[in-house]
Amino acid sequence: MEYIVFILLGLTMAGFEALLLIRFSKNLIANTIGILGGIGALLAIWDYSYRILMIKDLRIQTFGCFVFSFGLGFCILLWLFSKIFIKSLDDKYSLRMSDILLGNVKALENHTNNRQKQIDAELNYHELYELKESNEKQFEELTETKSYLLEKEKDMLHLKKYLDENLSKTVCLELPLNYKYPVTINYLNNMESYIKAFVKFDNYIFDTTEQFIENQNENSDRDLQIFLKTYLNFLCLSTSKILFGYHEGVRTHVRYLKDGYYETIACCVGEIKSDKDLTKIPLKKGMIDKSNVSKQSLIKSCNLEYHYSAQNDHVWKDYITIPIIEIEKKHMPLLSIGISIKYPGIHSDILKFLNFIKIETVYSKNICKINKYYDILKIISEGV
Amino acid sequence: MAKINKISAFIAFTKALESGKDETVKEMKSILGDMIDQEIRQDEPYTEYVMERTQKKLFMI
Repeated sequence: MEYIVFILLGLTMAGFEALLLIRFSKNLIANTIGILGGIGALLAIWDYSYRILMIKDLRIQTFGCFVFSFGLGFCILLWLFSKIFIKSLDDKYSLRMSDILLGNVKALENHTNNRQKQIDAELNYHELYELKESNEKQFEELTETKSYLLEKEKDMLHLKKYLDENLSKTVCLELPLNYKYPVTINYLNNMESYIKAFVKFDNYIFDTTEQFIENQNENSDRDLQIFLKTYLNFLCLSTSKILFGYHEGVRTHVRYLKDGYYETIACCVGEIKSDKDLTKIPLKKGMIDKSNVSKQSLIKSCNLEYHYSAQNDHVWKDYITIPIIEIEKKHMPLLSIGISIKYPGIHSDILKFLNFIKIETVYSKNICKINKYYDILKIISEGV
Repeated sequence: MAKINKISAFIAFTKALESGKDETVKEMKSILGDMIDQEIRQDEPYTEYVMERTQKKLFMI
């Protein structure tokens, strides 16, 4: 009976020691302390059991049973546990409950590393990391650009303040909308020719409009579409000739409202040709809409924020938009006249002069006179 | 140039534009340009008078 007790004790202790070793801790000191502690506990348990059972004659025999069963059990159990637990390390991704309970550090570390590699591969970690680096670089660049732009904005505000101060001391033309155009010596020198041309233009358009009406009344069987187109071509041609001397750097055109867009109906470019390939301007966009709201002609360079980008912006650098607000279609002007210039250095001053002197009144009063006799909206609705 | 001829010339110009005959358009532009020049030259005295008034008005601003 005593032998069996010591054999069981030895086997139990062997089980504990084998489990202790199988933890695979990397810490050598902890492993050594654990083993030494185990041996100390072994001897203490044997001694304690021996005293409790009060066996006096079988000291060596029971100790032998205890040590033998411990040694044999330890070897068998260590081999058995190694087979069970160490084999599991080959499995890359699975982590078993026993690994956690036994604190199988190597298995846990191995599992963690493998899982990390697997997740990295699935999420394409390296690419994401590179992207992150690139984003950080871009962010730094943008931050630098932002601070540069802020500095520039500061400079521009200073410059604007300086210009405003100097403009207040200079003679300026007040052009719509809230734009001050400084009057230069060159402008003053040319003003006489501008006024002369404008007066001639006004007078000529007025007389010829009367003649157009008279002529159409005498030839009432003439196609009204041809009549209207001719009149609008006459306006473009006269503008180009009288105000700009048929300069090839000036384009005069008339647009009409059709299906939500302003399309070309008449156009004149200097003496050479008549360009029909003008950008369609959508309703409620661009300068036509803004000039309709403000009820006056507007110049692009004075109102850049309202400009609608067109396909020939690189050719025609500036223009004036003149809406004929008296004849409406869907609360928008049916007709809009435009004068575009290629060379602002040559024609910028006269464009500003025409805006200042309200050239829209010349076009409006004459077109309205035509409209009084011949309904322009009706003529256009019937197709031009 | 008589009134009727002037308007007829502009109508012919429009028809030339419609037909796409560039050479005719160019020639007609030249003719109409000369015609405009001639007509506005006849109005010189009136132009001078209006200009004087306009200039005065402008310099008053």
